[in-house]
Amino acid sequence: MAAPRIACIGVIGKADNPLHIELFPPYSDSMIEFSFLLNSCLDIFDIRQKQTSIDQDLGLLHAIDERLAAYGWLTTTRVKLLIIVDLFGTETAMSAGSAVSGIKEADLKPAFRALQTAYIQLLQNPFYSPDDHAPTSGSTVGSASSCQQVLNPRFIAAVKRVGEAWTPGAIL
Amino acid sequence: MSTQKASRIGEEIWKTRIDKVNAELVTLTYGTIVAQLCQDYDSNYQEVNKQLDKMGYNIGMRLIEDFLAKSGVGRCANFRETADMIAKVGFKIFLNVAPTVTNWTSDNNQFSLIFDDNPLADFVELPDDGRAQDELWFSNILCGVLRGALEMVQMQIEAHFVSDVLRGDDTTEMRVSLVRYIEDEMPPEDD
Amino acid sequence: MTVYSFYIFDRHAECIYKRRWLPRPASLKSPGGPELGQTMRTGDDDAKLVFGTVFSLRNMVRKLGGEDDNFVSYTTSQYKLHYYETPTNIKFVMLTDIKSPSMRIALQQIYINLFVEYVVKNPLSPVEHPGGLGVNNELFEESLEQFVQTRVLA
Repeated sequence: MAAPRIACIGVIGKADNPLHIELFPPYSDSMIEFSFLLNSCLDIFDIRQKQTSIDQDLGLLHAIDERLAAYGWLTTTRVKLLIIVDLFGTETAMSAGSAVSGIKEADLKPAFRALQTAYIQLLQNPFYSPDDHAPTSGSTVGSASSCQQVLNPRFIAAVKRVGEAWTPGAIL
Repeated sequence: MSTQKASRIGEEIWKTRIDKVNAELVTLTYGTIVAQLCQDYDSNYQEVNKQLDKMGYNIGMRLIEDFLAKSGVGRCANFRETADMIAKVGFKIFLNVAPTVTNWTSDNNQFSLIFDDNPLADFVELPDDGRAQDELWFSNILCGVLRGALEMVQMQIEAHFVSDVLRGDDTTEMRVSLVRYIEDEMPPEDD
Repeated sequence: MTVYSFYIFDRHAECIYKRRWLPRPASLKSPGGPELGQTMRTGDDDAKLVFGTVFSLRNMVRKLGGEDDNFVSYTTSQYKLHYYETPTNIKFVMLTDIKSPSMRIALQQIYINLFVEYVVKNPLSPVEHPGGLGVNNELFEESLEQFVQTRVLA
């Protein structure tokens, strides 16, 4: 049975600064490729924001190929949550023929909700200072080097948990 | 007065006479104060502990009046009764927790409060600088509150935390020792 | 019922609030009539006298009746003194005419509803009131005035 799995989760700050990117097997070593994919998704966020007043749940942003699809979620504070789903799943990585045709957008809602909860918990820690992670005003927007990624172990663990536990219809 | 009776009083006051406030607001307010102190004192955690204790002391001196006004309880007969009053009425009505009173010394002058639940520390993770875990007592304000409050009812005490789940300990424990009962002050002599 | 005067003493034996209403009982009137300047000094002396009295009386009562005992009021031929003390050693004293009913509950209410609410809970007012400055709090004073007025009319 081919179950879609999460390949990558990206938590991106207000200024398009990456706060945390988590990769899941078998993509754990493909940081550059996924950074590129996430970056291109941010452009879609921008376009969608300009077009209409949008809901938090942006649904499918971009079907990258027959295997990977990017879904997005935008909080009111403009923090972007991105999930890239591997439609083939891990077990069936070799047998492309049995891949499911797709997943419902609603399937990802629990994953986004769980990520948002993790992000809120991160913010509730008084020793976490959001400003430390925002790019300084002088630097170019989106340049990853100018700002720190989130190192909080509880947050990282929560993101990992979402990525590993999610399957369509799973309760997180 | 028995522990059970103190618990009942605390429960009753909590239900009927206490204005409730959003817990996140309290937690975030307190957390922000501690974080700001850590920043202002350049992560000198001994100093932060001291400042928190001082702030607590000032709060305690006022809070005791509110406590007495709301509870209407009189003077405790002994320090054991005081401990129950603190744990089951005081903490109950102000923080809606009821720490366990335990580890009495044989002279009945020292006890521990074990906190199963500490609303001040919800969401908190101590800074990961290798020192906060050993030096900062995040909830140290509580020690000051007890010190201030008990001083107003003629008890000089010493209170400090000995463990905190935030540091990775199994429990959060505060040690309270009675130093002495304070005598009534006399008016200054007329010249 | 007539209220003559009202005092609050803190745990340092200091008079932190006093208020007098006329007419005062004859026994506390200064000899020589109400001259200017004289009245102020007499007021201070009154407070000291009142404190000395209640302090000694309270200690005596405790010696005779046990640690938890306390006196409620005493009456002379001229006035009645009502007394309430909190566990934090704040002493509330009110002098009324001799026909007045017990004011113990009233004093307790002043503590709970006025003193704690307006003075203690005002974060900008100092916790202690040293140096004779005393409670300087409009809300408290107005409410006290009102409270006493309703008692007098009752």
